[in-house]
Amino acid sequence: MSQSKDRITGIVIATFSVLYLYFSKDIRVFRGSGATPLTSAFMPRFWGTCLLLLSAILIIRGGRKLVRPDGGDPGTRRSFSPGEFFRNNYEVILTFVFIGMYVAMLAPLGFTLSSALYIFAQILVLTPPGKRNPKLALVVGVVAAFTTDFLFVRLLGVLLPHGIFGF
Amino acid sequence: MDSALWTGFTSVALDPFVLLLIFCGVAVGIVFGSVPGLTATMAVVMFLPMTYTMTSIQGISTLVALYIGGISGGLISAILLNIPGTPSSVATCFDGSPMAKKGQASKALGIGIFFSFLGTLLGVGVLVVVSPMLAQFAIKFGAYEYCALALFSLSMVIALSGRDLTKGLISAILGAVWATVGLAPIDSRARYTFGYVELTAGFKLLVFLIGLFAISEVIRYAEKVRSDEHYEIQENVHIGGLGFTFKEFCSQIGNTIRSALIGIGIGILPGIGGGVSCMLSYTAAKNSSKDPEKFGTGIIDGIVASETANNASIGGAMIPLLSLGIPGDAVTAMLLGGLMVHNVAPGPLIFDKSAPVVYGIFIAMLIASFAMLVIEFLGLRLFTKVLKVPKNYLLPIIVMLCCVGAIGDSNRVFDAWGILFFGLVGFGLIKAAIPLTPMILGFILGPMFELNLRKVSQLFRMNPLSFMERPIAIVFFLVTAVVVFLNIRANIRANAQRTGV
Repeated sequence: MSQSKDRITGIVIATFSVLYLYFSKDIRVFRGSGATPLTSAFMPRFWGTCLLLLSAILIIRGGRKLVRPDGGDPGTRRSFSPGEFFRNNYEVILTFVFIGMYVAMLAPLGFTLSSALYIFAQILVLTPPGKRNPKLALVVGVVAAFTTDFLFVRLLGVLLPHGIFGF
Repeated sequence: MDSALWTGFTSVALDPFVLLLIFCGVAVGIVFGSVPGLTATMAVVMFLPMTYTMTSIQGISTLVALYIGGISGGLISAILLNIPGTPSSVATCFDGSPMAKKGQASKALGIGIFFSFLGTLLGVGVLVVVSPMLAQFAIKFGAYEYCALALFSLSMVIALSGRDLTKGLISAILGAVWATVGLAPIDSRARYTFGYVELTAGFKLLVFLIGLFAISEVIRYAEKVRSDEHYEIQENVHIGGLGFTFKEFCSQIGNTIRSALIGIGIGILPGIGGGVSCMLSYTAAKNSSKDPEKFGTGIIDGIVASETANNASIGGAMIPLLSLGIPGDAVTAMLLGGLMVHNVAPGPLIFDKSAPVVYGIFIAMLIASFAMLVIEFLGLRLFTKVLKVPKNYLLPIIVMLCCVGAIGDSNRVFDAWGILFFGLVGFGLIKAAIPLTPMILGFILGPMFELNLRKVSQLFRMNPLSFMERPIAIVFFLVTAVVVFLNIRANIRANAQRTGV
């Protein structure tokens, strides 16, 4: 498992470093008077190349370990089912989705309202299925959001998004 | 200097509001340290936005109080639950938990608290003495020296990487890669902004750290929702006096000094925090003991070694942070962000430009260590109850406060997207078993290395022999070469032993 994980990690990082190196072409290098011999594109290309080499090591390492010494079958592949994947990982997926929605709603709905909604939804996701208490989650969400708004916006003067409702 | 010291002293020790902030900071830090899964870093993340409107001394005093409380609080769950509240308390479990099982929980806690206090004091003492000297020395640093220093600090990644050097280096380079987004140093050329104005300023350190540590922690918790972990908590703890005898204290003096020195030394090294120092000092105490076989069965030596070292590393980690602007661990990286928010620039000139704030930090750390001693002894029963805090209710509130921290720093929602992005990156790296700490080093040291390397390239073009006139840089390069060589050799040997070659 750890070997195939290494290989997948290596492939992801290699792809990222290729893209990173590719977009370094967009860096408009300064060549006027006082320009340094090493330009602003040097370090990105250096880091990108290092990352590519290291990811290659990871891929080779993962691939080498996957081949069993006796030449046998490296393991049976399980078919990937999106439904099963979601059922097994829905807390993680929903946490990402809720944080994304929370950030997206900050400007239109305002900090307080979007925070109350987010905390309510997130508490439900982070609570084991049999122990969920929507009323308590709602109370915690509303109290936490309004207390934070009072503390930061009214008391400490921190600027947070107001949204269409003005709070 | 005297007037700066006096200003620093009066603005902390004689200001009731700052004292209140320190006491509250330590108490909250202990709560965060004691609850498994919450760390000192998260305490600083959570409370950083509250300091935005404070003065620099008020804000930074609160943050260091959270830091000290957070590191010390880990011992409570380490002893009572056999689960380290923070990585810094891993070794405390080894003897703390067996003592608790033998009915000596109160004694173990008393020893842990008192030697945490001693460790903090010794660390702060060294910080007060060494950091001005180091800053004075670092004033001589030019581009060559900073370039060599950044390279040396990055080379510590190899030591940090443990068994997997490749993944450690990937993490460090990824950190440096994220830092290249925005305007380039020296000629301010836009890099990887893809036309977005928001990316021109690059990713902020705070956004990077909050996403990496706080958001990824919430997602990790989400993974374990259905595992329904259950803790057995020993709640009937009552410490009579300090919990140990004077004779026992005297028997631990050598252990305390050795552990404090290890903690301070490890703290100074970039990127290596209390987690490593407590393990190293525990091993050192075991190796130098007359009865090494008793370690792990519930003896006070193990707790003394672990708790003295992890708290001493606080002072150690603050030394490079204040004098060179290089954080010693994840929490000091957050503190670096906090210092920047409060317009305090860490580095060799900090004692000239922000002397009252620096002396204020020293005083705040001393007061916080006494506050930690008092609060932990008096509030122990309360903290054992806090261990039951439901994290499913707490973590969403932390996410909200993270967004406040990100948005409040620069008044733009874009940074909240940044923390989500780095949360994703952090979670992905954790799943791929890639350590996160080297990435912080890469993110902070990458730009420092680039800026000075490019300056060096210009100096080198003007005078190719200019390098030979910089003995400090030469020493740094040589030390880096030795560190890299020794660590790679040790890594290869360890791998060979593991694979039986």
